[in-house]
Amino acid sequence: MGKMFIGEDWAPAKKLVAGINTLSEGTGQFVKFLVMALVLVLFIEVTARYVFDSPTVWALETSKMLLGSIGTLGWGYTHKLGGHVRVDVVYGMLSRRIQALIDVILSIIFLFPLVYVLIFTGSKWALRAWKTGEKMIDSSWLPPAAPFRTLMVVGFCFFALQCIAQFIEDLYYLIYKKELRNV
Amino acid sequence: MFNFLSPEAITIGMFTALFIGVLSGFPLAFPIGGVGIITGLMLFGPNSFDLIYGRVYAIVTDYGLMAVPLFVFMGNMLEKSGIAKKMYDALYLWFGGFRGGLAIVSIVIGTIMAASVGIIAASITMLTLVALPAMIERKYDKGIATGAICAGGSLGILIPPSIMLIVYGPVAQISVGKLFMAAFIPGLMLSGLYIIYIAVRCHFQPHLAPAIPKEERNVPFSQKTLLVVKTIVPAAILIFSVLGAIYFGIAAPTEAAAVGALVSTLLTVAYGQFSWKVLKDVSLSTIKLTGMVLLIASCSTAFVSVFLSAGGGKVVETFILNFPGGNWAVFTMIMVICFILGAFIDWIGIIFVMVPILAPIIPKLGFDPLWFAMMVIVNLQMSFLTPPFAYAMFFLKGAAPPALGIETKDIIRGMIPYVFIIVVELALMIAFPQIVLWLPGTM
Repeated sequence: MGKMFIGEDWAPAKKLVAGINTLSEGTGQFVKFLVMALVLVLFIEVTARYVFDSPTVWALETSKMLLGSIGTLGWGYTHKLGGHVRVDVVYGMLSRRIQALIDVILSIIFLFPLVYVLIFTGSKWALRAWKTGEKMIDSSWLPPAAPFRTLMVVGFCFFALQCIAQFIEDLYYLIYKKELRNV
Repeated sequence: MFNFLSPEAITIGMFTALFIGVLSGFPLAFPIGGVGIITGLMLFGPNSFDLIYGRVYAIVTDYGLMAVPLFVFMGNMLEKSGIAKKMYDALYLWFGGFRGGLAIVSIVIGTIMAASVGIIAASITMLTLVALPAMIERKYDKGIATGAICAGGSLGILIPPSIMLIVYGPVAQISVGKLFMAAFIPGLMLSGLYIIYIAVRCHFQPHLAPAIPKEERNVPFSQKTLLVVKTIVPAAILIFSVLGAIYFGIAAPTEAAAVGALVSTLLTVAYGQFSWKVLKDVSLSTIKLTGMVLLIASCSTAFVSVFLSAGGGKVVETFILNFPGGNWAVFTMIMVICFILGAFIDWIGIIFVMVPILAPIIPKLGFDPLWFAMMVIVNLQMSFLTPPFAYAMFFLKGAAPPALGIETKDIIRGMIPYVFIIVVELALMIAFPQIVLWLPGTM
């Protein structure tokens, strides 16, 4: 059925998948610096609090924003690495084609609704934060919440893209019984 | 529009969908979150999306969960520091002369590593690279060798600091510091039972683990001692800087984790193994586990909040409180379910889905929540060692040099006795709850 639209080599889809994989890889390479920053920020806070007895006002929210960014931006990268753990007792024994079928069906039932809700609701809250000038209220620092909420949406979108890339690969295998990346 | 459904029907429906989705082999987090979202939409309409987003936001900015990437970073960094190799070389000289000595050393190093890392991947990888080749070279039985590594390495997630305790605390509303202290004695005790098992078994079946000839470990006493001091002291400083700070109530686990992450980096510098590339690799490999934990946590809280809003909590409570046979029958049932789930499903999913539903019911059954928490956590130790989904086995197979010829059946044969030892430990914890409750009581 794919033939009707894009021909058997699925060239545009292949390019899209490759592009998304590069994006996820690049995101991971960026997020690793946030991990270093998280260690550093919390260590500075511990030193300031227990050694100099003058805790910072900015460390708590900064570290929260860092964790949220590592998490949400890291989801797509983790998915690319196959890091979202599977229960592969049965799955591991199945042929690649059946595995692709399971992934395609369950993506439609569970995964796409999940990423849709994350992106849709996340954007709504980010937009609201920009409009109302929402502040993060865990400390007296009161930083604006909008940039972080927006970054979370970016993370959700990258995650969604990686899900789409894997969906395309599975769909291709399901139809043509060979890997798209080898075509 | 589906609110004609009874809470019982919703409970059964949600869990049936969850199990089918999870057992299909699709990444665990997606069916958990998907079932939550679809049920939320059916029962409460699109407004439930805000509830779900709110839960996700709370999880990815949770101060307690921040300790997860920090402890993962610390574990990965220690793996690069080469401390395990140094420790092994030192302890080898001391224990090599005993039957089964090298397997005991694996447990000892696993225990020391467990007190400095919170994940099993790092400890098992380290032990596999350092201890496995030496044991196979010395004609140790493959089952004895791999079993000791799997069991010793899995202690990483029981003995504090441990990311299992870090995620359990907030989910059950128990202080993570108290959980850390409660896990300390059961963890050391389990390690002791492992050592006793190896020593006894190798005493009666010496061919399984021959002693090392004296000429191969002929090193003066002073030098042997110096070697131990040089490796144990840095590890002790690291352990104390993290756990001491928590025990004395100086620092929250997250703060202690940050100190631990930095100290493990300094240790790597001190051992001459540090480079910019090492730092980048460690940070990059931290993302994968952090991303996985935060996504499962987000999806599970979405599932659980919809489940509880639909009245599912009441259904489970009624079922449990009216279960025939009284509270110990219920307790046994929970333990058995935990064990079976553990053999198939990742522990993170079990804790995030099961614990928030059960936690409010436990005090009503007359059990101490802290004691119950440790029972579940020690029980989940078995989940790493029970096939088909035995994490310890996967990590060992992934790290073992192929030349050693380790087969899955060797590992399974080696791991099974330790499962029984854990059952013994659980029985001891039931008979003597003070094993769990004494140390946190002194805080």
